Amino acid sequence: MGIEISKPFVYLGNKKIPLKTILKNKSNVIKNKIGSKNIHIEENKSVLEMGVNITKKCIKHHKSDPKFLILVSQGQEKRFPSFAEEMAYNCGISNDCFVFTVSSGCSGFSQSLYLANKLLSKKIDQGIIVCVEKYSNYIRNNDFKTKVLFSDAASATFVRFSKKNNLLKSFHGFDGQNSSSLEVTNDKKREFLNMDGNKVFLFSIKNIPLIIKKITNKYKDINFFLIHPGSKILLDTVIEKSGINSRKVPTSFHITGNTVSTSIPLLLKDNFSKLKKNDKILISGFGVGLSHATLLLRWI
Amino acid sequence: MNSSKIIGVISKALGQKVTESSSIQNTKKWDSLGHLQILAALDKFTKGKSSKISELNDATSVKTIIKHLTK
Repeated sequence: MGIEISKPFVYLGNKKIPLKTILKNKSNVIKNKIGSKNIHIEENKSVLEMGVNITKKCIKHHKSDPKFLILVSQGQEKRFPSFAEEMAYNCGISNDCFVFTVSSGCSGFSQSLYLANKLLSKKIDQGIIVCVEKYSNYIRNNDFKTKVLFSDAASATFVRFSKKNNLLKSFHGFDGQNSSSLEVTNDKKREFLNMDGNKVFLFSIKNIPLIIKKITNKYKDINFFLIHPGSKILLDTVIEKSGINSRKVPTSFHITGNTVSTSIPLLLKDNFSKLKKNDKILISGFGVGLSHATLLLRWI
Repeated sequence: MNSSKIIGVISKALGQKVTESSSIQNTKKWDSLGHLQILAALDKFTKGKSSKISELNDATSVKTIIKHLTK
């Protein structure tokens, strides 16, 4: 059976930082590599508060309780438990709701859409996917290469059951050998994010274009490609290698940097009015894991 | 795949002429952006074969790149 996706609610970190203040005399890097001129950092709210804030707004708008809540986050402040249950409690969600966490990054929204599609039924007819990440907690002050890429963000996306099966294709994959190329490790009681950008880049350009080509070989008339905008150079390379029309690939670089699991909800929100019934929409997320998840959906 | 073609691809990717003795240390435009541009250009030139060679991640000289692509 199928899945209907509502317009996501998105929250960006409260402090907007122009990258030219960090990367002085590097306008070439900002324009051609990163893509975005600004990043957003959250200075006041915890990841829990960011999640509660955006989930409450989404539930208030839809005026009904979800039957399941999928939290996509790796940024919890305790080793366990995940903050999914505490967040659901703080949002006033009924305590018979199926609440669980997907520990994933930029692939997390696509993976959760796939899971939500499996969960939805006539009985379990609606749910919510909440993505929250605050990478600024883990980035070293002097790690400018990483600092300029990521924005803190949260999103909440309501999904509903549809009688029409609209998940046309799905592809998942991982590379466990290179897991450490994007990781958070402990260093003198603090946790720090380490990223080998070249490895993440190669993983992405090796896998994503192959999958997109497999899909476009069968489905010639895809209307939109919502591809995780990790960075401009990465997205440009994926587009070129996939042989797809860049006009069908919206980006969010005019808004902010890489918002991790919220990147695709942000693309959906920003382009929601353009998506028409029966359009074919490809959604692709890739990153931490290393992992990737790509779905082709018929829009309902 | 010959060396001069590889040097040509790297030069074009960086927008700066390089030689077999060029590296990230002595080439102005070969920074982290430049390295990604090289990886993307080599991937295109080799029709995807180079992105399977993980050693290229850390290959920051023309000599090393040629070595990995021609072995």
